[in-house]
Amino acid sequence: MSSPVKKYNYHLRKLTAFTLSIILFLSLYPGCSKKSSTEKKTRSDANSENEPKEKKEMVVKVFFLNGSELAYEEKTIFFNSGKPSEKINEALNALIEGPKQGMTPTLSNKIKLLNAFFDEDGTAYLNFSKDIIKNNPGGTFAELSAINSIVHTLVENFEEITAVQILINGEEVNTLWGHIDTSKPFKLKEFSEASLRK
Amino acid sequence: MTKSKYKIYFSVLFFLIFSDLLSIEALSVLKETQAISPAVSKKKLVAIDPGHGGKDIGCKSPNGLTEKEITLKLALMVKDILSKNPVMDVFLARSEDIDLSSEKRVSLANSKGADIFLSLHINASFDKNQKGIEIYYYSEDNLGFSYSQSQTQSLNPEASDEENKSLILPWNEAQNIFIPKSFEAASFLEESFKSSQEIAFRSVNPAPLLVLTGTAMPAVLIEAGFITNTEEETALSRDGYLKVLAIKIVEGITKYFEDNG
Repeated sequence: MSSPVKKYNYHLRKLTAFTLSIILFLSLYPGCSKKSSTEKKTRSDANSENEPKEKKEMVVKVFFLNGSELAYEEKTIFFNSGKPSEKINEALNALIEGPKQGMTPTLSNKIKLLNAFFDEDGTAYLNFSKDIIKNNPGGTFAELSAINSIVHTLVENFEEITAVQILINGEEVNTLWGHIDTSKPFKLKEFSEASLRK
Repeated sequence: MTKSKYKIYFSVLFFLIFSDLLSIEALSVLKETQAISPAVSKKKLVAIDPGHGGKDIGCKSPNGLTEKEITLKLALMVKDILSKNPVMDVFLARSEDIDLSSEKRVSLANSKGADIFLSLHINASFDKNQKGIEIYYYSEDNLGFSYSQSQTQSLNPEASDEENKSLILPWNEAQNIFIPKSFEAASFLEESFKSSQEIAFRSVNPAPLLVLTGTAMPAVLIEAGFITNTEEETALSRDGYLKVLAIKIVEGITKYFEDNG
């Protein structure tokens, strides 16, 4: 074999080897970023997997109407202790479900709580679907009772919650059913009319 | 042109300009006089807000009676009685079946300088046994119920002691200084309603009401009965009963104005 042929074959073998190694490398490592995000995902999954999956049980006071006054019924809720917002969801779902013991509901059981969370300042944000706007009897009394029952159910059961902001489809609204201003969070506060009297 | 002719020319010109200005001035003074006459007059201006309207029907009874119809009818009856009163003027936020925002209704009352604001509504409940008239006045500190602190700056109390200091009050705080008078008006209305054996009266309550937010005068919301209660629904469908309510509303605010000069 002549020297140029040998040289050609040599270079051809080198090129083939190089190409094969590149292909091998790419097949083993599809992408660095992908791998790291996958790794991260795996780590976060691992974290959540490491979180206690244990279901906690809690008896909560759920507020309805007894005549014209607010009164509570005790219900048991279950939630994942690793997901603090879940207990808010469950308490609200117990409220939406309605009373079992002869009291009057304050919300229609046709409405839906999309999600709920609370911040480090203690304000719980309740995100309802638009169903809440239509499914109501109307009037100031009904609206005030509904809001009162929601706020009491959360604030009286969960000490980390001190205020409640109502959202509809993720947005703050001026009013729930046309009478009460819901643009800011609600808190429970003692009030006396004595200062208003002459 | 001679000197005398110049004099005549400029005298006529001066006279024309002067008389023109005078007529404009006279016209504006006349307008201002008309504009301020309600304030100069001793009559009290009552603003009535018939709740809901247009597409917003409010609450509705199983028999089809709507809140918006009742509130307008009641408001027109109150207006009819007040219009015969020599010491009171009245206007309605709406006198036909149209929808107005809460802000617009309140703005109308504020711009006209009303001495009192009455928002008329009808109540409802999931519980058909609930009945009776409720009166609400504005308060952020509802009984067992209030807002978080507003992020806006509150009125500086020191500023009010300084002369020539103009203060801008946020819309949502406008009613605050009138709350004691609103409560007083609610109390007079309560007394008036309770004097009728035909009327079931329930309570006077504070609430963070959007429909009263921004009012710059004593303001109350009257929930004139529960449309979901069979007995009250029947009563609210009768003109005779609405007339009784109208009379009691007028008696209540008359006594309030008598007590408040």
